[in-house]
Amino acid sequence: MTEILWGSLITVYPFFSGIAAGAYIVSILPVLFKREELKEFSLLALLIAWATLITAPIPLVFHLGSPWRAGNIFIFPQSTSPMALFGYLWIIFLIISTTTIIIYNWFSNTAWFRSTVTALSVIGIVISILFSGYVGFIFGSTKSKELWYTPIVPISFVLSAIVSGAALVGLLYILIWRISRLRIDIQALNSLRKIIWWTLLLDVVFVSSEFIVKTYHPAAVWRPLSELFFRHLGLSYLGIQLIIGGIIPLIVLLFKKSISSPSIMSLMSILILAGVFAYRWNLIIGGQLVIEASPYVYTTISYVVGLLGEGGILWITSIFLVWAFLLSLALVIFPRWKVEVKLHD
Amino acid sequence: MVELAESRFIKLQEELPRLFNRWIEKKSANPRWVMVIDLTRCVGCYSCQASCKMENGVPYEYFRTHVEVIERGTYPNVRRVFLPRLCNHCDNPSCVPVCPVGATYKREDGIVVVDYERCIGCGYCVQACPYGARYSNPETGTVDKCDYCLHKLSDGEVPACVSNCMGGARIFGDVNDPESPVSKVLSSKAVATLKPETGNDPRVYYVGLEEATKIGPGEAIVINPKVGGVIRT
Ligand code: SF4
Ligand code: SF4
Repeated sequence: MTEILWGSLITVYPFFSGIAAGAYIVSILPVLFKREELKEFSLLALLIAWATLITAPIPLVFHLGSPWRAGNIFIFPQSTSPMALFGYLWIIFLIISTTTIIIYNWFSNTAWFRSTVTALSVIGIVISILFSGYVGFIFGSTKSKELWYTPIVPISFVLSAIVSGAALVGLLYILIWRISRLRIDIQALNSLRKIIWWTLLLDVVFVSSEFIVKTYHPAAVWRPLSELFFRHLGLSYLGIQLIIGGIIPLIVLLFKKSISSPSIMSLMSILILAGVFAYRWNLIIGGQLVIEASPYVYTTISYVVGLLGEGGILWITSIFLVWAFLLSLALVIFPRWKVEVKLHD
Repeated sequence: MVELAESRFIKLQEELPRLFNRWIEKKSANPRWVMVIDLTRCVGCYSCQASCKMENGVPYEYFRTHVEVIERGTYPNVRRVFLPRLCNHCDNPSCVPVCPVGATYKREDGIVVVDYERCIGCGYCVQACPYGARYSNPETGTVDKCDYCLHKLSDGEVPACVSNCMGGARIFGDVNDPESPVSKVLSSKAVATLKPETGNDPRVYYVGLEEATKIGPGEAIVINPKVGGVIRT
């Protein structure tokens, strides 16, 4: 049986959980690190984190062999399993982000507002880093897969989570503000550009050094890996993940001028998001494309996404639509993000 | 002649469980089930693969145990080695700690099992096993793997692959009992385990493993029913 077990649905999950964590981190920077200029879109970032967080487990649950038993992860969590952490981190993260949104929307005039939001943000930043890092740990601790088994994976998952969350915040900030005919704050955008640039730089350095180290692996290990990198994942790894989603945005965003045109910033955000999605894809799918035909005899297989059926393009599109619906709903039921902007203006 | 051989073989098949039963009655109080596969006796008949599928209702294209064929050398000096594979019931299994719901565990008697009522079918254990011993069963929504035919074992019988092994290559028993067939083989022959560097402490032992695993580039081709096609080293 040469089908891979964790298909496209599983790649959507870390993409979403990363965005949730990244957008949340952007949202609390004004509170924890006094980055006042980021207040402009901190509530928008929080709503993005919230909608993405709710959407994240959908592909996971659908992928389970017995989805009706998903609750077992809360009832019988095994402490040694990184995957068992999921349920608890997700619940805590959801409670923290929902509470923060409610406080911002309806209790911002109270005496305890600031101290409560600060306390929630302190817990929140730890949880969000753990939430994006634990997914990387699931892969990084799996010694049976040559591509996964590296301590770099959890770190680069956290970094790429921040990059993707910040990029999506930037993209939606420009989009929603333009639709709402609000003035785009260049200073805020510039601050976001710097965050994205430095984190993306670290991420690209980590991932590329990992790649370079792999080329020095023993021939028997490197042979199937090279086939993987240059044949099966040629476009998505070298093309989308490293060049389109990494090197090009790094060059463009190096210059402050790039944000003078919101269209360029939007385009760079899209490229970065494509790159991060490609990273999830290359790691998860790619790791399973190298198989052992017999001890120490490796070969590679291919994976093609279908249109229909589990994990098909239709499924993935539906999950993205659910996410868009939830975000639109959040923007309507938690309207403070607009008021906050006006106050700031 | 053929009929005589056939009838003797059938008799032997019927006799084996009874012999095992008698031996099991004398077994030690704390059995520790272990399998030894003598590759020098394996004839590559696939009886174990087929009987396991039948005994355990393993779906089409999936396997609890399978036989890999390794063809070595160049014509006319060629040789085939058969490598039967199954769960190694490791002492330090990778599949157990990763299970988010504790649905897979190692029993006192050494058998690594799956609790089919608790398993959510996440597939993490399948990914974690460095021996490719598990599969996700599309018919049950859980994972599945060799459990040494637990249902037969509790009835005092040997696993299906053992009773159907026509070459007598699969030897099964309680390693805590010095009189058991496995103990005798383990004390008399040089054995090795698959990929010991995984640190899993596999507990399926092989006699004559070197020929099946020490293969240099271009030295052999491999046929594996799980992978399909012929793979050149
Ligand atoms: S061979 Fe794989 S499935 Fe069997 S016990 Fe070892 S790690 Fe677990
Ligand atoms: S597939 Fe089942 S046994 Fe395997 S890790 Fe998931 S829940 Fe545990």
